[in-house]
Amino acid sequence: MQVVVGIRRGRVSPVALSATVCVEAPGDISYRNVILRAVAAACKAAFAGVCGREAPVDEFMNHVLSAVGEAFNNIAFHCYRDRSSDIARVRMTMDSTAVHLRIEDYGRSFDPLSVCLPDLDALPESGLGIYIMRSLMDEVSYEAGCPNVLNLSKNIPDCPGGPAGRAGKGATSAVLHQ
Amino acid sequence: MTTVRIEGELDAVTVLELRPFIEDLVEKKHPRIVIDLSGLRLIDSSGVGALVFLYKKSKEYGGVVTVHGLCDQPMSIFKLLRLDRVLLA
Repeated sequence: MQVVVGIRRGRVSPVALSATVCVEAPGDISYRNVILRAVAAACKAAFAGVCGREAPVDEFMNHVLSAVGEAFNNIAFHCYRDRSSDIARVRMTMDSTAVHLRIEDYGRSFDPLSVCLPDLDALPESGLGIYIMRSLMDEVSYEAGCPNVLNLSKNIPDCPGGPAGRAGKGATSAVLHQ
Repeated sequence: MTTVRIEGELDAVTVLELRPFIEDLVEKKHPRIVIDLSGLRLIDSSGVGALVFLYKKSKEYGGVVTVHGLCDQPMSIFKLLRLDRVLLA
């Protein structure tokens, strides 16, 4: 027998699960993994909060990490090229439907939406990062300024493989086996 | 046949270590190169670029490069970039 228990976080009323995680590091490529590991941990926690701890997070997390990794590459190689690197900041907000990432830098503006997408049939060796980022995220927007802000959003899928499915938006689910 | 096994993460940081090795493979014109990515956890566009470089340069002298062992994140990136049709063994 399987019993599904939905646990609401915070107040009993069905408010959305909401949390913000912010990580900041020098916008130097050697800090790429620092950013990615922090985002991975936050992403896993957010996904578990919506879909339950047993839900398969890998594909969702891989998409987010791939996109953030490419965004960080752009900051290190384009925004801070020929400059002493300044900071890169990733602010990650999660709710019951999506993960939203606000990625900031103080370097040269580089709008990923202004770049032509590569011709994949020609097997390009470069220009793939922006394609990856734009393909894997549900929403991408960019605001040049100080800081430059790249916004990425990824919708959390219904949890088809999760043991409890989505017990209710904003719920953390637990499954008891009896 | 020359087998190259790449493990861990192949990204903008680690590709700098791989580049000289790839250039050496191209220079020596190995006729058949198999890249084993079964131990690869993560790849980014820089890593993909290096493998595509190897594929294209080898093809120029008639060499063949194939990839096998892809799974998880690297497989999804290969599929997204349609490289699975070209490089998968």
